[in-house]
Amino acid sequence: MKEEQVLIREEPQLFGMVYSPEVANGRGVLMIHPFGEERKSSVRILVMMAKALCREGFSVMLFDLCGHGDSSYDMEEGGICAWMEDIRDAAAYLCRLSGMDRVSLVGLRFGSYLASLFASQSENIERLILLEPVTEPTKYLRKSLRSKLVKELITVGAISSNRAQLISGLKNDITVDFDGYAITGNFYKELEKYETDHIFGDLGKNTRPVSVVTMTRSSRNAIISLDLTSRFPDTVIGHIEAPAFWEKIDYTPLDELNSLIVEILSNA
Amino acid sequence: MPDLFSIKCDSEYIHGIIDIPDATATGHTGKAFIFLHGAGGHRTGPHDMLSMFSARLACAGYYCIRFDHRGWGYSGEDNIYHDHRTIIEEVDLIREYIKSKYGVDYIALLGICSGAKIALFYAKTTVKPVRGLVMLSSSALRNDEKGTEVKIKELGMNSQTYIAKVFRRETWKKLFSGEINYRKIISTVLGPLKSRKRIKKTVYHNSKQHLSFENLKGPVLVIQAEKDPETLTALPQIEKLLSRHNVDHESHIIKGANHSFYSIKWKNEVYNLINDWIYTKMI
Repeated sequence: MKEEQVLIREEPQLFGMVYSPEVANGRGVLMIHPFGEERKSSVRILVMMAKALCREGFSVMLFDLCGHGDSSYDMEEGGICAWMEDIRDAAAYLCRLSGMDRVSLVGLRFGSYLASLFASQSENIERLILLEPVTEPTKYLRKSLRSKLVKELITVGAISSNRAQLISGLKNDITVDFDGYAITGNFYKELEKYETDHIFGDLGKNTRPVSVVTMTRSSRNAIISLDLTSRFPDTVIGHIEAPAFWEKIDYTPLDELNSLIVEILSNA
Repeated sequence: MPDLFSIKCDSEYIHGIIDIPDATATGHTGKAFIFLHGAGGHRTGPHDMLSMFSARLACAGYYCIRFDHRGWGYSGEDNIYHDHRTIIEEVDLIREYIKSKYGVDYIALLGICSGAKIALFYAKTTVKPVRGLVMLSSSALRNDEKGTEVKIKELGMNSQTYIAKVFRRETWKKLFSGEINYRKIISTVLGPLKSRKRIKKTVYHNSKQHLSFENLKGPVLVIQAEKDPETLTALPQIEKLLSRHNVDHESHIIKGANHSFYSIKWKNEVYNLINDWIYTKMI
């Protein structure tokens, strides 16, 4: 296996990590990380998943969306439209590098929302795998803001504002400090524009196999309630018990998850 | 444009990134900061704070090297044992790399959390000069002779994971259907034991107490968070250690901040302190 850091794009900077197999099976996988701090907690899990796939012959790329990691670090440069460009550039880079014309997308948490949105606009996606997907992005952001306020209460003993004020601020183009990340009003409005029903509706236009893997009971219920299987007959919904690693500091290897992803992609 | 580098060390890769200094910056070219992230972390740091600091320090004229410690982020493998000694080895390898590629051997360290503690240990024991040290949210030092050591991953971690699986129904299903990969389990659990033998042979730079900090040729900046529970213990320990060895140092506490400085305001406050310090204290 060859592992290589790459600069997918210079301006704005887009960083990637490519895993190239010794014996390629001619298939590529692009992995899309979660939003904000969930990304930091997930990096190692995604790296080991990428290596597991690479050992089975897949060419795999991890990359940092703008506003995250080693890509241009200013979150205000991010947003849905910017991230669609990032995914497009990363997918094109992986295809050029590996001589393929389509890739599969594996998205984790908010990354699965972005993967779905991109797949609904693209004809070059072989398969879509959604891990512990965020199904309602504005609800996800509201819940995340609530967690931020709870942390503030625990740390400082008081909160500087409430969730309604923060949301109202976003709607009026006031940037919110989300635990060190700048969330803009533009980003919030983009989330409202691209709601999940709309995304899954558009996915049907470019039908491809969709697999969903849930790790917590609440997301499993949410996915089932979305009734994806009736919209997409080939949808596979899998569940494995795993800690919410995207919220944790310590790392636990998840061989079961890696094996499941390899199995789904190998059987595609 | 940054320099993306990978250094091979035995069977593992250390992956890192160097922000190249702004050529128009005056007075600071030829100097470098090596960043050490905390346990459980990644080279970009909490809320990508280290990425931001690296980019800004590069604008101020410093080569800024961030890398993932083996066993974390993009670097290394899971079934190989790593601890503070492997990180010290990594720092030395990176020093050689930037010296050979850029001719830079003026090195300062910037560490966060356990990375700060390891940076302190490095500065205390290294036989190579360290020109400055920035410690952010250091965890408490151990009060025995080993002082600033930290174990990054324990052998037991992988064992505990597999023991927990014994109590799951899915595990027994796999056992009876012959799906369990025994070879992989043995390799994962015992891997750290094998590599631990190699690490034990690594010689400490300098274990003689009276030579402590002999090669720390610059000042130390300590920044802790007011609401970090570790601050109450760590800060006096660090100050006492540095004072005992007559090391030039200054300390700051960021009011209201939590351990990882989770806000834009605190992040900027931390950077402003670093910026002021490099312009007034770093020669």
